[in-house]
Amino acid sequence: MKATPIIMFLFALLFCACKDAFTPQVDAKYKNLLVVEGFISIGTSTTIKLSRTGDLQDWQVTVPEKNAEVTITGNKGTLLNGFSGEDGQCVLNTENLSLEENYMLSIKLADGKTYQTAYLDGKASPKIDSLNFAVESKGFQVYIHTHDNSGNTRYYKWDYQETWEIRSPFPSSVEYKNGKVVTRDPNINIQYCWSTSKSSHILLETTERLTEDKVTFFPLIHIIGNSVKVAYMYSILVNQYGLTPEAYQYLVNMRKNTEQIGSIFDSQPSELQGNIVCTSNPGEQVIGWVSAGTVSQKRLFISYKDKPAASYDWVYRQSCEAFISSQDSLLYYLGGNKLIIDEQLRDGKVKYSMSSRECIDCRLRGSNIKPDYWPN
Amino acid sequence: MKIKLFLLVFVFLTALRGSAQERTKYLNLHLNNQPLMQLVKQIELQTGYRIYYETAAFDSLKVNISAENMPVEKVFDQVFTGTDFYYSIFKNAVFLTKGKKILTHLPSQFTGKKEEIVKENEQLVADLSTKKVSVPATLENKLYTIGRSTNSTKATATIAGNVRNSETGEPIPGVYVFIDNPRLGVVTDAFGFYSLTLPKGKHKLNVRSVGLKDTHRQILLQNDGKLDINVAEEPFALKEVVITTDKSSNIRQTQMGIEKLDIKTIKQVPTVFGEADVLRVVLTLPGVKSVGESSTGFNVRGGSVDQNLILFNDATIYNPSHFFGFFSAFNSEVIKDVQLYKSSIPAKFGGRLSSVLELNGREGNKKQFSGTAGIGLITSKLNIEGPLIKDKTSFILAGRTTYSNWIMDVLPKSTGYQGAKASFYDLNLNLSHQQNEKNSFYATGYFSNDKSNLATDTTFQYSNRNIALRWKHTFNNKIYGILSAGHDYYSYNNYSNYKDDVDYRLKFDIAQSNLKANFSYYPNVKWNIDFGASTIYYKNSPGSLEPYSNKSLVIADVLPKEQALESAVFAEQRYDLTDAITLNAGLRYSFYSYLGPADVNFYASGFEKNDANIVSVESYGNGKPIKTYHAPEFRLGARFALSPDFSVKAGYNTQRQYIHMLSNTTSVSPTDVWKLSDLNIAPQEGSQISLGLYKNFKSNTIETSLEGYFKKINNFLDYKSGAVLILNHKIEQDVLPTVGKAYGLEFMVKKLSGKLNGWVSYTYSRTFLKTEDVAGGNSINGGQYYPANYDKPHDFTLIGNYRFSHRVSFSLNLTYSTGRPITLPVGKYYYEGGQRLLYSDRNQYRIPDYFRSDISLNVLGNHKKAQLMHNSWTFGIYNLTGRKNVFSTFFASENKIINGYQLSIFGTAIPFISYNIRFR
Repeated sequence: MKATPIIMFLFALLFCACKDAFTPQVDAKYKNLLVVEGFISIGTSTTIKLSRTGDLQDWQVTVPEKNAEVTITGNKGTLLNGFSGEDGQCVLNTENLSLEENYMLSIKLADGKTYQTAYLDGKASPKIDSLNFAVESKGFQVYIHTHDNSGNTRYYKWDYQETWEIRSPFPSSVEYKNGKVVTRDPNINIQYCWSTSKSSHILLETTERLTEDKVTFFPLIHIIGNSVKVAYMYSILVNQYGLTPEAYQYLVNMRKNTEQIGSIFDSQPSELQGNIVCTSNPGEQVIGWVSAGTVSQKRLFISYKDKPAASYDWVYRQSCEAFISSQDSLLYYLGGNKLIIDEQLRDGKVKYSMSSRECIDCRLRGSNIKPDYWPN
Repeated sequence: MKIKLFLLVFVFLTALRGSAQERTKYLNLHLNNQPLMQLVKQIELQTGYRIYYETAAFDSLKVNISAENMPVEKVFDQVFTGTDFYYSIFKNAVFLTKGKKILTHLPSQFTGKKEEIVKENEQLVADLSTKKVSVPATLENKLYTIGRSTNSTKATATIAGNVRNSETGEPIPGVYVFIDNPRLGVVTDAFGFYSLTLPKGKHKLNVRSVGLKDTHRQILLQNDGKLDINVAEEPFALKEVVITTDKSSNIRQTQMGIEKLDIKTIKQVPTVFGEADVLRVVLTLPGVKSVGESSTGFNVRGGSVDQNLILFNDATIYNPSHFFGFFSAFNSEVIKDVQLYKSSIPAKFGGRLSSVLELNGREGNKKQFSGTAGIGLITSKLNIEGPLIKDKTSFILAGRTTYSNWIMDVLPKSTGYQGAKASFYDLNLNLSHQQNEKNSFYATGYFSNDKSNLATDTTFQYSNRNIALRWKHTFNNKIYGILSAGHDYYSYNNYSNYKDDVDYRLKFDIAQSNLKANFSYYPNVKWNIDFGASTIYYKNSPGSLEPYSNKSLVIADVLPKEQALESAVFAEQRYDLTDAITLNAGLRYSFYSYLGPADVNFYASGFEKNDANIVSVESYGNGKPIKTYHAPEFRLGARFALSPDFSVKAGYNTQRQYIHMLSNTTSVSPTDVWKLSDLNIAPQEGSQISLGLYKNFKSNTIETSLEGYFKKINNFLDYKSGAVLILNHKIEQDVLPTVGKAYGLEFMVKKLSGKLNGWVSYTYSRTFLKTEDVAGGNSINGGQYYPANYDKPHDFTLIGNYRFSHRVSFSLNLTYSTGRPITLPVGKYYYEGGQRLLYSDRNQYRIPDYFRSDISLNVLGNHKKAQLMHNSWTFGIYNLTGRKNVFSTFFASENKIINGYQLSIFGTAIPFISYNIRFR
C-alpha cells in the first residue's frame, strides 16, 4: 500500500469547504402575524413587546405594533392596562401582583382585533445559588447554579444583560468648536463609558429527568479573553424564570427552529401553537408564549485582573494610532472623522496630535453615565 | 457429428497398439443388470480381446445375460438387441459404438453397399490424416438416464436437482433450466434447486444464466429422477461466446418490480472511497430513493425507511448502515446476490409495507481453501472460506473493520465532522452442510458494531446480532421444504460522559425470534405452489435512560418492555393457463397479538388522545393478549406474453406492518427506536396496484421495462409539533396517524452482457402524506396532503461498464434527481433578544437538484491460473465534476442575524483506490 500516503495527500487537498451560504429563493410570503413577547413579572414591572413578523428580506430588525391596548386581568379583581408605544412596547407596573392570583393578558389592536391568553398560573423562581466564571477556551465561561428544594420549578429560563467598561485610549484636552481649538469641558466625560447588551439566545434547562431539582454549571455565555468586554471591568445581570412545561416546550421548539435546524439528525422544523389566541378571528396564528411568575436576579463582575495571563489571547487591542497634523491640515482631518488629542508647539509651529473619533470619544461605543452599581 | 468422428479417431489411435495375445472365442457369463463395464471385463479376461468404447455413451446400458460357451459375437448380438449400440471386431479388437457401426473393411463399389456408410468411412479416413484434436466438454455429450425404465403408462416424469458452481461447489440460484421442444423450463431457487416435469424420452436440457458458461445435458428421461448439474463460471464475456442464451426471465416471470443484482455488478459500480457498497447500488435502481447520499436506509416507491424488510440469509437486519449511513453494513465479499422486491412481494414474505431486500450470502468453497483480502481507504477486510468436509460442508468467515478516523480529521471544520470518531466492524460466518441428497443445512451468523461520535459529547453505539439456521429437506422431486429459525437483535447504547451530574446512558433494543416453514411443490411444469407458515416473537425494550456513573443525578427511566407475536400462514400458486398467460395468486393471513404485561391507557373514542381523555388504565398479566389484529393480505399477479420477447404484467398487493420506527428527523437518526403496534397504535397497511410492459431486444440481451404503480398507505406515523419520541410513556398522545399515496412510472433499459453493459433508468414518482388528527389542531399543514421527505419526482440513473480487455474495465455512474422537499423559513420576527424564523408549511420548497458522476477503473492482475494470489486494483473518482450537491440547508442565528447555509457532504471530487487479493 505504497500509494496510500499520496492518495491521502490528494484527498486532503481536494476536500473543500462543504458549508456554503444559502439564500433561499422563496416567495415573499409575508404573513404579517402578531408576535407577543412578555413575562408578567410579579413584584416588579412588566414589559409586553408587540411586533409583527417580517419578510426575510426586510431590512428592519423588528416591525413594532403601535397603539395597542394591553390589559392584565386577575381572577381576583386586578386590572391593569396601558398602550404600546412607537417601539411596540407597553410597560406596566406589576409590583402589586401576587403569586396567589392568576392573570390573563388581553390585547386590543388599533384596528380592533382582540387577542388573549387564558388565566396563567404564576410560577415562582427559586433563588439563584451562585453565578460564577471559569477560565475556559481562552476566555471566561459564565455558569449559573440554582436549585429548588420543593422540586416545583423543574423548567428554567434565563436571560441576561451584560455591561462593560470602555476607556478611550487617548484622553483629549481640547476640541474644535466654532472654528477654534478650545479646551474641552471637563464635565463632559468622553473617556469612561459603559456599553450594554442583552442576551440573544434562548437559554433553557430542565431538571425533569434528575432526582433533584438542581441545575449546576449551566453555561450562560462565553467571553473571549481578548474581547473588549473584559478589557477593564465586566458585569452580567442574570434573570431567572420558572416556566410551565408547555411554555418550556414552546421555547425549546422556537430555539430548535432558529438555532438548530438542518443538521442530519435534527428534527424537522414545525410551528407550535402559542398560548395567545385571536378572539376576533380564531383561525389566525399568533406567535409567542406569555408566562407569569416571579423573577430572581444575580449580578457577577469580572475584572481584567481575573485574566490568567497577559498573552495575545487575553489582551484587548484597539487599533488606535495618534499622528501629528500641521495647522493647515487640521480641517482636512477633522472632516475625516478625526479628533484632536492635544495641541503642542514644535519648532515654533502649532501642531496637533490627532486620532480617530472612536479612540477619543467613548460615547460612540456606549453611555458615559456610570451605572449606579458599578464598583470604584 | 464432429465429436463422434473424433471418438473414432481416438479409438483407432489407441487400437494401433494392438495385442498379440492368444484368444479363445467362447464365453461363460452370468450378468444381471450390470453395467457394460462388467461385461467388458469378463470378455477381456476370458478371451484376450481388447474392447474399445466410450464409457459415457454406454453408461445407461444395463446388461442382462446368461451365457454358456457363447461366442463373443453372439453375446454382443444378444446384449445389443433392440438398442442403438453396435459392435465391430477387427483382429483382436472390439469396437463398441453408438448409432453407427464401424466397418472393418472398405466396401467394394461393386457390391452395391449403401452410400451413406461409404461416406462415413471417407470422412473417417480424412479425419485420421488431420491431427487437429480439441478437447470437448464430455459431460455435455454424455447421455444421462434418469430413472429406471418401467412399464408405467405415465407420459411425463419429473427431473430435479441442484445447479452448482463446478469450481467452488456453491449452489447457483436464478439459472434457467429448459428444453427447447416443447419449450418448458424453470428457474432455480435460492438453493440452486430446480424441478421440471417433462414428457418421457430423450431431451436436451439447456442450462442458461448470466455469468455462467452456457451448457446443456443430454437426458433420457425414463422416470422421476435426480440430476445435479455442475456449471463453470464464465470468466469473461469472451468474444467467441455467441450469445444465444435465454435471458428473457423478465418476460417470463409473472412477478413484477423485482430487481436482481449479482455481486459482480455491484462491485463494478464506483462508490465513495471505493467501498463496494450493496445499498448504494440498490439506490441506483428505479423506484428506490433516499433523502441524501449518506443517510441510513432507502425509500422504495414512496415508502418510508422502516417499511423495507432487509433479509440477510433470512435474518432481519434492523440497521443496515455503518457510521450513520455513510457505509452499508454488509461486506460485499460474502454477498452472492441481492434481490429487491418492489411490487410483487411473494406471500412468504410479510411484515413490511414497501419492499423486501433479500441479500443472499455466498456459501464457502466446498472444494478447496481460499480467501480474499482487501485494503481500501476506509476499511480493510479479510475473508477465508473452504471445505470442512470436502464436497459436503463448507464455511466462509469474513471480517471488516475501519480505520476511518483520519478521514474525519481531514474533513473541513465547517462540516461539523472534524474531531468525530468512528469505529465499526462487522463479522459474517456462513456454514453449509449437505448431509445427503435430501437434506442440507445452513447456518448464518452476522454481527456488526458501531461506536462513533460527531464531535459532540454523545457517543453513539449500536449493534446488530443475527443468527439464522435453515434446513432444507427434499421430500421428492416435486416437493421440498425449508425450515428456518433465527434470532435477530438490534440495540443501541448511547452515552454522554462529559459532565458528571448529567452524564447518562440511553439504551434501546429489539429482539425477534422467528420460525418459518416454507414448502415448494411442483405438481407439473405448468403449476407450482409455495405454502407455509411463520411466526415471529418480538421482545422490544423501547428505551431506558440511566445515570452514567454514580456521580450523575440522572433519574433512571425505563419504558416497560413490550412483547408481541406475529404469525402468518401463506400459500401462493403460479399457474400457466396457456403458453401466453400465467396467473399468480397468493394469500397471506397474518395474526398479531400485543401481549402483556402492560398497563394500558384506554382513551375516549373519537377524542384526542391526551391525559384528560384517558377513560381507564388497565393492567394485563404476562403473556396475556391485549390487542389482536389480523387480516388477509393478497398477492395477485398475471402475465400475458404477447410474443416471446414482449409481455404485459399486472399486479395487486396488500401488505401489513406491525412494527413502527419512531423517527421525526429527515434521515434516520441514531436515537430512533422501534415501537410495536398496541391498543392505541394500529398496524400500518398498504396496497399497491401495478402494471408493466416488458420488451427484450437483440436476442434478449437488451431488456426494457416500463412499470407504473399506485400505492396507498394507512396508519403511517407522523408526529405532533414538539413531540418527544424518546422515553415517552404515552407515545400514542404524540403520534398522528397518517395516510400516504404514491404513484410513479419507472422506465429501464438494461444490458447485462457483452463488453458494454449496465443500465439506464428514469423514474417519475410522487409521494404525499396527510395527517389525520381527530382534533385537527395538531395536523401537519392543516391536514392537507404534503410531499414526503423523499418525494423526488424526476430521477435518472446511468450505470455503465466497458471492458477493454480481460484485465481492464471502466465504469461510469451518472445520477440526477430532483432535489428533495424541505421546509424553509418564510418570515422572521424578533423574540428573546434574537431574530427567529417563521417556517413555511412542511416540505413546501425543495433543495437544488442533485447530480453526480463517478468513474472507476478496475485493473486485474494476470490471469495465470496456477498462481497462488490474484490481485486487483480499483482507482476512481467519486463526484467527478465536484458538484456541491446540497445535502441539507439550515439557518442559524448568529450575532442577532439569521444566516442560511447549505451543507454538502461530498462537495468535491474524491479520488479513491483499493487493492484486493484473492488467495488459496
